[in-house]
Amino acid sequence: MKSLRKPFLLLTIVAMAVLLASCFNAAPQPSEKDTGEPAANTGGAFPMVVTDFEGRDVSIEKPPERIVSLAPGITEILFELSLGENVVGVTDYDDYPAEVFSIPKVGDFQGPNMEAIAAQKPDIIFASTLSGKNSMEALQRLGIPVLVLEAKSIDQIYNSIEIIGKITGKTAKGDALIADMKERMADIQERVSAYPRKRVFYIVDTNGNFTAGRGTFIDHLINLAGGENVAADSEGWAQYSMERIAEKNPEVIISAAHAGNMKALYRLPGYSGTDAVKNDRVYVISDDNIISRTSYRIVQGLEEIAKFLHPEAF
Amino acid sequence: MEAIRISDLYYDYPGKPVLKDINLTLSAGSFTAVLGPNGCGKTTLLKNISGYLKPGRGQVLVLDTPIRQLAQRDRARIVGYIPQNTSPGFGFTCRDVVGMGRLPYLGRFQWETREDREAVQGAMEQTGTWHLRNRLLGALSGGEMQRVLVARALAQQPKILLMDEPVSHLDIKYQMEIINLTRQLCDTIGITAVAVMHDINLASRYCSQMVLMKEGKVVSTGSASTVITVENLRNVFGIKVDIIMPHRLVVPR
Amino acid sequence: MKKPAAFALLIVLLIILLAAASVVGSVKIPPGEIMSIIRGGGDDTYRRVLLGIRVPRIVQAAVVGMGLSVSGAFLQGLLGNPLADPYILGISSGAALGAAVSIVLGLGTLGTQAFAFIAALATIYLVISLSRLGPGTGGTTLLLSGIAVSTFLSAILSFIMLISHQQMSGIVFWMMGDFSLISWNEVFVTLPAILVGTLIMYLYSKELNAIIMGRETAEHLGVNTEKVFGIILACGSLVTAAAVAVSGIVGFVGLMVPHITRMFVGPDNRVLVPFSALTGAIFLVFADALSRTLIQPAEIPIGIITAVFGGPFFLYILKTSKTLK
Repeated sequence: MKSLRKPFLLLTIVAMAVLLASCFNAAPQPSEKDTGEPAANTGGAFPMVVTDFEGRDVSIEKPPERIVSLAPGITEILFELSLGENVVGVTDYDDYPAEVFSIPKVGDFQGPNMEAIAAQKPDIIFASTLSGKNSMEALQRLGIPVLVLEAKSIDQIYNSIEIIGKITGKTAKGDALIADMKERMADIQERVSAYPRKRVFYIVDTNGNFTAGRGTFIDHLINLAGGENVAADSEGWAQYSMERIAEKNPEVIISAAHAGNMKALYRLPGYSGTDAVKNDRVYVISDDNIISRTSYRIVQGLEEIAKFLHPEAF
Repeated sequence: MEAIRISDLYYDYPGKPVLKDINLTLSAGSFTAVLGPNGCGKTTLLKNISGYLKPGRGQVLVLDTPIRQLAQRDRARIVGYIPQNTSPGFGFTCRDVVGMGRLPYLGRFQWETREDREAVQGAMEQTGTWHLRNRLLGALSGGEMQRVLVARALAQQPKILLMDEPVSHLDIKYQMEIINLTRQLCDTIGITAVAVMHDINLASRYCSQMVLMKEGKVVSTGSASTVITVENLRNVFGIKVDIIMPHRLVVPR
Repeated sequence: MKKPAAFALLIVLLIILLAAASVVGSVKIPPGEIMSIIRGGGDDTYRRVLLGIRVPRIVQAAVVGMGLSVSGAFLQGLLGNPLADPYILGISSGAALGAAVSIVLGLGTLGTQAFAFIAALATIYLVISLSRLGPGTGGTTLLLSGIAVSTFLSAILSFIMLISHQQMSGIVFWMMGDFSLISWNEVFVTLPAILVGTLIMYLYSKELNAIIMGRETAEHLGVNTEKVFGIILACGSLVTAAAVAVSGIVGFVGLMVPHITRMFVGPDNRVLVPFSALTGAIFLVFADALSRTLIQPAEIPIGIITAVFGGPFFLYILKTSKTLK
């Protein structure tokens, strides 16, 4: 029996080693959909240290293969950079592109679910400060690198794309996306520059008359699209009185997708006498997320707004 | 003349018979006391007379009219009712309270006329409460409050006055005052009064007629000498008493 | 002070307040402009602001203030409870639920008003029907029925808010009371309803006085208390439902105004009701003016302003009730 035991033992050890190795290697390999891009390695730049938008220095050992995104804007960017298969956890708020619906949810409107995140064994987490400070500490305790790329301006959106490209080895794709965005934005701005600015009022919600004041993304987009936000005398998400709306007399009214019934708007005091209502220039954004989410689709948002304001330029 | 005639009256509360086979005649201008142990149906009888309750069987004639055939307002012009418990009035003045007695006479869009004001003042003067007219009802003594309630009933200019234990909770002075007042009203303006009482001696002193009840039935009715006997009192109240003449004073043995 | 003089004074005060409220707002209209507008001319924009937005809103505040105060006075008398308010029988919960459903379905202002109104009336009908299960339609039975239905509807409302968190802020906003969406349309619809309702209730003031002394007493005075209960509840509900439908839940007015007014003029509803009506109108016009000027161009929901007055009010009641018998 002695002679048989040795090879048998060896076989068992090898089998176990293979079994163990395959357990750790359960993650799907990144797809090789993109051509002209060496897989993973960017020429020995790893490990690298990146500074996120919170000023935190985060060390990245190697290109992440299992990504949890708690920021829907980042999710969109990831998919656009062909990293969709690497995304293993998203939030309830994620809805674009359609593929995200089949990805496990690790966060809802109450915040990120630590257990669910840990269960996906990610090697990086993209977080947003919307989750709140407590979540940040809890996330960091998981021992996984956490990156906050919450853009507060269009430049920061470019920046976030750049950083994501760098750490995932998709620099070329990232640069291409940025370039495309910049080109389209420049084009839009050029087209509308020929026309006088239009007075615009943006409705977030008719209950309480909430608008996007100075300093918001929407305010910024309105300006880029050749418009003048009449609510610029208020800051941030602000309430605006009916009287002021009547006084400011916007020429164009743009509404968020879920703000309420637009037909009803025509009857409301304050709105009903405005040039916008008189000339039937009340528009509804097709998707709130293209103007509020910090993703590459912000260009789409700008385009829509610009077309509302200056249809003759397109 | 008969003011009130009750024939074959039966009344049940849901699932509980209360009044059985009541036959009574009360003449105009009389002052009748209704006596009996608690729960024998005295209040229920009173409410059947006022028309508030509808008899199960039988009939109540008030001034030769079946009381239930009258409209509620018309009933209130004939019958003044003073209930056992009354709320303290939540800040109403005595004049306000007595003024409510004119409700049966006020139309939907009518405010008080001079006639109404005179009726109120008259009722209050009759009861000696006019000087209390601006005081809050709740601030009065028991006796004063009761007199104001009598005034309210009088403001209705009723022919019949029904009183449910009007003096049970009062000091003896006020007890005598109210009962005396009632007797005077009967004698001077011909009101027919019926009062549920507990004090046998007070009743026999002032009331021309007595009704003794037990378990929903009339055991005895008539003058004090007929009704107030040792036998009846033992039968109805389960007590042994002596009756001291000539005052017909009932004294526990 | 004699009552007729006090009444005249209140009327004058209301008129002055109405004028003053028309002058303030988040858009400064020069006095000269106001004069021009009154004479029929004036700048178009200012005209629209003053006559199309500000004035209907002020009128609505007065009308709602009057309606809620009168309803509150009558309900306090009917239920024998000086701490009752027009919402105590469940109208607010019902209306809020109706409004929430409309907001979630995205039906617009008209839909929200209609849903709130219908839901409010349906709720009171339910409350009254359920109260018949108890021993008679006495005040306590109604109150209990109202609380039961209210609690249940609030639970459903909370659930709806939870599952539609995108519209939650809209629903919460509606519930805090809001005059910002008022135009002449709302005034034209609610003014007759509230006016007629309060007038009809007023005609039953003396009956209500009798009922306060005791239902049996009232019956013996010739009052058909069941009928009076029904009429007052119907009218009171109509008035309150109309008010809530267009302005959300404006709290404390229906409770505080009649209560305080009663301390000054007494419980006789023939006097209490007109005084409450005026006081309520004055109070709400004032509160509305505050709501739209304190943090302009933003607005503090009117329900918050009335609640700010409500707190100290209850403390005051607590303090003075020790001195009351």
